Amino acid sequence: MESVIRALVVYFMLLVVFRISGNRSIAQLTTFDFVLLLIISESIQQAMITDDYSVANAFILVVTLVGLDIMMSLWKQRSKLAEKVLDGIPVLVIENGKLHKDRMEKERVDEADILASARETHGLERLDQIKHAIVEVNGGISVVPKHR
Amino acid sequence: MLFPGATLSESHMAAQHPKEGLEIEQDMDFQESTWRIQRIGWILMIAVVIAAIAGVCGGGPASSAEVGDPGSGMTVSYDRFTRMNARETLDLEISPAAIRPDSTVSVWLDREWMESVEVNAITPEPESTEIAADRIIYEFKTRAADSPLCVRFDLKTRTLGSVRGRGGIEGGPTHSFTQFAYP
Repeated sequence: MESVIRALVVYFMLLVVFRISGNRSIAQLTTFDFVLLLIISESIQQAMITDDYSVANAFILVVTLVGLDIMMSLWKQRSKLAEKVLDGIPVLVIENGKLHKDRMEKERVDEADILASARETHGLERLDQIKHAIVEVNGGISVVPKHR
Repeated sequence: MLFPGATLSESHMAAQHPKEGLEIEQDMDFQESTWRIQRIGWILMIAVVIAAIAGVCGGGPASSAEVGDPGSGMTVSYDRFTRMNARETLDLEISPAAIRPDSTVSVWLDREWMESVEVNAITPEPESTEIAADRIIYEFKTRAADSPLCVRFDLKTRTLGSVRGRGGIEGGPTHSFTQFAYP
């Protein structure tokens, strides 16, 4: 029973922490972020398994975590609000060529980030070639060019 | 910018129908509150770090506490905040006045409190351990009866929440302390 409670607590704790830190934090997986993820998983692991290294415990933890994930996805499918709260919503940072500076600042996205995404996905050269730019729920920036 | 005319008409149309073509759910009220909650969350996270440095989460200046004084025969140094399944120590400093003429001293700890911890080691090891109805009595022998005797209990917290401990020299005053164990 304790393993299940531990898994539940850790799951929701991480959910809250990552939701608070914002979508952009996990999207730009730089080398350091990668290391950070490893350290986070390492610190969490200790709290979840404590001193029970049995296969049974590992199995219970995995089933609980995966089960929670499935339940959450089912909930998100049924409830729009749950999806918004748990995943967030996409944010238009460039709308019809107009930059929403305030939104960019709050989403921690700058012009260079948008241009990088525009180069990667559409080979665009300048900001004025972008019609829409959206910070997606996974933290990535998708770009709609003015001309195709 | 190859067809300036087309761009103009396109943006003109788009201005009239801002959502045209882009099927996306926008809820700026929700987003604003999300940002606000995120900022509050950041502040809370900073607060947690500061509190942890201070020792409110265990193991820091805000956590270590003392009860008793050399005049009462014993000083108990303990952690106000502990964590379940983590190590903690309890230090007893016994003053020479409490040491009996036969160079022995008996200290006791509350049995109920002892059940909330796992004793990994007692340094130095007691000569004998006795169990009474409400307490566990440890007897130590010393050759240096004129200097204070320090006994360290290496413990592991086993329960959650607040526990009250008591201890003292046999026949001396009782020292009470309260600990809080985080999950």
